[in-house]
Amino acid sequence: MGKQILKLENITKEFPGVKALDGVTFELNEGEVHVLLGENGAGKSTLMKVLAGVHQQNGGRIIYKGEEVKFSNPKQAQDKHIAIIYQEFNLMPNLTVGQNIYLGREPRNKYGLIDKKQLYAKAQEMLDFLQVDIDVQEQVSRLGVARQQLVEVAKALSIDAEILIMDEPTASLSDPEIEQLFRTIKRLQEQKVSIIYISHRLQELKVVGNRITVIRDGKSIGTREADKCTMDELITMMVGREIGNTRIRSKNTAQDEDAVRVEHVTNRKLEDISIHVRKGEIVGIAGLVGSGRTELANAIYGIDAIKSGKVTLFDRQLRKPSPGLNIRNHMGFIPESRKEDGLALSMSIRKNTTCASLKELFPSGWINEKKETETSAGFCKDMKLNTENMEMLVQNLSGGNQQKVVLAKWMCTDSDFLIFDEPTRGIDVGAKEEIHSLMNDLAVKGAGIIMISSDLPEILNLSDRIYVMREGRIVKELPGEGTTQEEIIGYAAGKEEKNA
Amino acid sequence: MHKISLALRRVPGNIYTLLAITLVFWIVCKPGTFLTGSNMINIAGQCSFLAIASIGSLLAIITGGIDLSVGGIMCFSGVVAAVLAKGGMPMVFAVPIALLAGTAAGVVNGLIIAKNNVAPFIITLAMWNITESLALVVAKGATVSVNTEEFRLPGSGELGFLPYCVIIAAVVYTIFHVITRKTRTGTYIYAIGGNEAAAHLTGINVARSKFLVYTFSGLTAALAGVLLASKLGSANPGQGAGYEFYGIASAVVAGASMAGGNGTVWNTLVGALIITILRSGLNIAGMPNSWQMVVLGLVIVGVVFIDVMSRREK
Repeated sequence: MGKQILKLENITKEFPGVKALDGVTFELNEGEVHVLLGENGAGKSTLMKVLAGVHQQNGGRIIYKGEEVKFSNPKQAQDKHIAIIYQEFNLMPNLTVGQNIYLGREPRNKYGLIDKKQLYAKAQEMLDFLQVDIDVQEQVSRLGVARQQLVEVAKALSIDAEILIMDEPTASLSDPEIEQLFRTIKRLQEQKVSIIYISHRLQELKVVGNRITVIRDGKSIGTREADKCTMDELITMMVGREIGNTRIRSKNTAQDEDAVRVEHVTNRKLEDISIHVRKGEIVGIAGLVGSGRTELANAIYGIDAIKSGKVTLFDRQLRKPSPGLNIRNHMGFIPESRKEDGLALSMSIRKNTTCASLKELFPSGWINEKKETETSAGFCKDMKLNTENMEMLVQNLSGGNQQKVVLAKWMCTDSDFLIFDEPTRGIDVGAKEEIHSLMNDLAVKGAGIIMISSDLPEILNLSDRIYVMREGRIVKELPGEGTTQEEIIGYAAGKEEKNA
Repeated sequence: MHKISLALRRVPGNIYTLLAITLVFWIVCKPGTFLTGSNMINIAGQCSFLAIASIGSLLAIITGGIDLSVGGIMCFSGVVAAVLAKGGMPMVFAVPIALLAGTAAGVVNGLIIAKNNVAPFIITLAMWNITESLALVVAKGATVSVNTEEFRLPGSGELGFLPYCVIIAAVVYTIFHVITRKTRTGTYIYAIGGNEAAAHLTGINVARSKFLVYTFSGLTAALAGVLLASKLGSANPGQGAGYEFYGIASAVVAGASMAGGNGTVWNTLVGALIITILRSGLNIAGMPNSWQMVVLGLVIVGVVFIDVMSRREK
């Protein structure tokens, strides 16, 4: 193993209201592949963005080749030969492969114009080194994902990267493509390039990595030699946290009848999904980022098209689902990002509560403000909203109260099947408990609920049944009671191979 | 729908097909009027103002933005040149001052858009109003006629059989072809339109590139305005009106997508030519001015529709 090239010491990073990194320490040796492992939101990507100059740390030191460095923008990190390949590629689809590789560093001739001949020749060298057959003059938008990633690698090489950060590089690759990527990584290692490899796929870590560092809740938990640790050890390190509160759902109120049945649904992001939710039942869907949870919700709600398979709601097959039709069918969707997709922030609580059900409330088309205020006040009271002023603008409410307004909106439409996507993300503990008990009440009243969540205690405390997703498939169905966080993470990260 | 858009994408060089259709349309409608030497020179001359102004529209569109102030800047710089020339200032001074005045408006656009990340639509819309009103102020609300040989030379003078304005347009096009195709600035403009966030992460100075785009746009609009005033021998505060529309139309007809990231300088020249030929063709055919705008508008709608459809299929 080579000498140490990089040390991150006690890095902290705060965003407004959130401490994303809380004293992370990380070391990297020359020619090493060091895996950074952690759950969703553990702070892996934030840490790497600090190293790449996208974010600036609030505390701690970056020591690179024995000297302390500070990057205030991505360019400065690049100049020091630190390259990063993001999960979402940063290629310009409208430019050619060669232009992308040398973007920002185009070779110039003596007149100061871009020397295209040299640019393409040098880009070709990079691709030859990687032993890939891609036309440097091809437009990037015409390449598949795997080849685009190789272009990203070539781009990193072209800045003579000494440290290469790869964020979830295998997320959208097929098996043979992953093998090709691993071969490329081996070649880079031989050239003494040090690689930080971010992933949560346990299977591949031991194949590709030398050491593994686990971070959790913005803290570094520990570093292990890849060939000396077990998967169970890693899973325990990833989860670690205690389940604070006890089970919220005291009684399983599921009825025999199904509220919704999803049968063999397949599309671009999903593979043969079959699940069902009974009336009065809360079904949790767990999985890591990119496992297809939100895509499943989108497919059921008709936002994404379904290639094959069918969705049945209360014994009626949804042929061409659309939000308007869903509302008439009493299906509601509480999206992941309430500010972007759930609310009209600059409008009042009254308008937000009633906007999905105006047609039912006011069939004539004329809005009776008094009736509207009474209706919204009624639902907001049920939601235990902390204000009685229905004219207050939603943007002035706290996150928890905003989420309650979203719930009130769907209550107003009389929904009896609801999809919650990350219902309590970024919400304080008090409001979180209230929302949990509201969800429980809904189920007791007979509504079927799908809850997608990255918060494992939430899944365990609230679900009657749990589906675990990985790579667009349901890999396991678990009971809500008696399941542990370790079991869920094990299936979500693929500890047991293809256990459908 | 699917089949139509697939078929359309297979047509080689859409824009040349459109040019051909426009020409055939004219030749069939009024035989014997197009293929005369004087007519073609005439069209080239008319086209040069729009062609030059279109470059600014194109650059803004490539970055994913828009410049609505082109027409206003044309009025303003044209009026400035005319007022100065009428006051007896030699053209060697009056023209650069007028160009500077127009470019300054572009600089202001660029500074606000680049530094504060404001939507180009609203800033350039405001600048359109500001420059058009400034033109009114400078011209004291009336048409400024300058009937000197010197003032009219750039717009209506000829070198052999070629009008100066055509030569100037050719030079400007060559310069901007080189800038967009051969310089880093050019590549960055396309990169920003392709993926602005990624361009920033790549280390490209996005603010600087956007600033340059709106500055260039101010400069080309000013040049077009001065040439137009020179050609007409007069400037009035409404003279450039409509050019922001024709400029955007030229770029879009030529295949630039409003989403940004593509469109080329040479194609925009063809786009400007199509718009000019269409306009003068309709003129010669005796269509009233108001109806001409309807036809042009429909052409734009059609082209944008095709653009959107072909992108959806991808």
